[in-house]
Amino acid sequence: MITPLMEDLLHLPVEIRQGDKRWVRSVVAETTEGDQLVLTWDAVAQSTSIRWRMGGREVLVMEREYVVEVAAGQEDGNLVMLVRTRSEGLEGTLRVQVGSSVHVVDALLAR
Amino acid sequence: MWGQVGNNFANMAYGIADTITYNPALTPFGASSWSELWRHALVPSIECYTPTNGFHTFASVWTGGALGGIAGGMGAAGAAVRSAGIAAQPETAIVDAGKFDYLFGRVASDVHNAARSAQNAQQFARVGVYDTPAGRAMLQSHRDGVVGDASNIARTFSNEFGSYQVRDSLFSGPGGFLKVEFTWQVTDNGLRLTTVIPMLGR
Repeated sequence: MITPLMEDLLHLPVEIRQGDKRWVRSVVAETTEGDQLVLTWDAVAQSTSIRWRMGGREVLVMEREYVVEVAAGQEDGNLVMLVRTRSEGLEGTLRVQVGSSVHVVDALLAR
Repeated sequence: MWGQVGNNFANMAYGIADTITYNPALTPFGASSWSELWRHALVPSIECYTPTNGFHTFASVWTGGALGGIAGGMGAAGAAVRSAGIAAQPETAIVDAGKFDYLFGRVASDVHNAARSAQNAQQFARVGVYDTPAGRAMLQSHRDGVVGDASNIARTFSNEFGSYQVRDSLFSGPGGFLKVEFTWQVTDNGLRLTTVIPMLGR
């Protein structure tokens, strides 16, 4: 499982949180409207969790296993996080963009 | 007899008692789409052995040598496994206390673990395994067998946190079968259980 390097994360507009286990890490991003997006990955379980909170209320929770890559970067001033998964029968990319709002695209397809 | 073969077969290579012969043509799962899972198992006429009963506490640390009560049988099984061409590499298994909670839906430490734990409980329930002494014993026995059979290593990976083995197995419960994927961290002291993912076949 490929995960973002700490030095790369430090350049992004995110808060970095270390989990209670060394191999668990989260990044927290906020939209200009105050929504909060938390992406957590577990490098040993090879899993991710995404939580989107709007006005203090959780509006989206997404869990993924068989994660092969987590990536984070910026595109056009927006934070973009990618979670790529691959298993015996499915393959896909979950893309979360955080800017003025949150935009989620999730393609999980047969392979 | 062949009904029993399936159950016994799922826990092959580490039991003691009866020597049986597996014939996929005579079992309900002979023609399976789980071919990869059973790649080392779906060999006609391979010899396999019935499982032993659970003999450890789940939170314990044990070694192949500590399987004292069944040591003689283990030796015999090991020899037979070798004769069948399957590498038998007994390992020490390290299982943290509380793993049964993880297996039976009682973990809420974080969102992902809670979801995984809940699904584990659902999957085991679908094959008739619940958080009872009998259910724990079945899982414990199965897990012991997984550690005792190096041929079930499906893949390995390493990262900055260590080296890991993903081992596939076929678990037979009273109500059916599950593919169970165990991930173990390779440590100087043995294999430490990190994750368990039970799956239904397709």
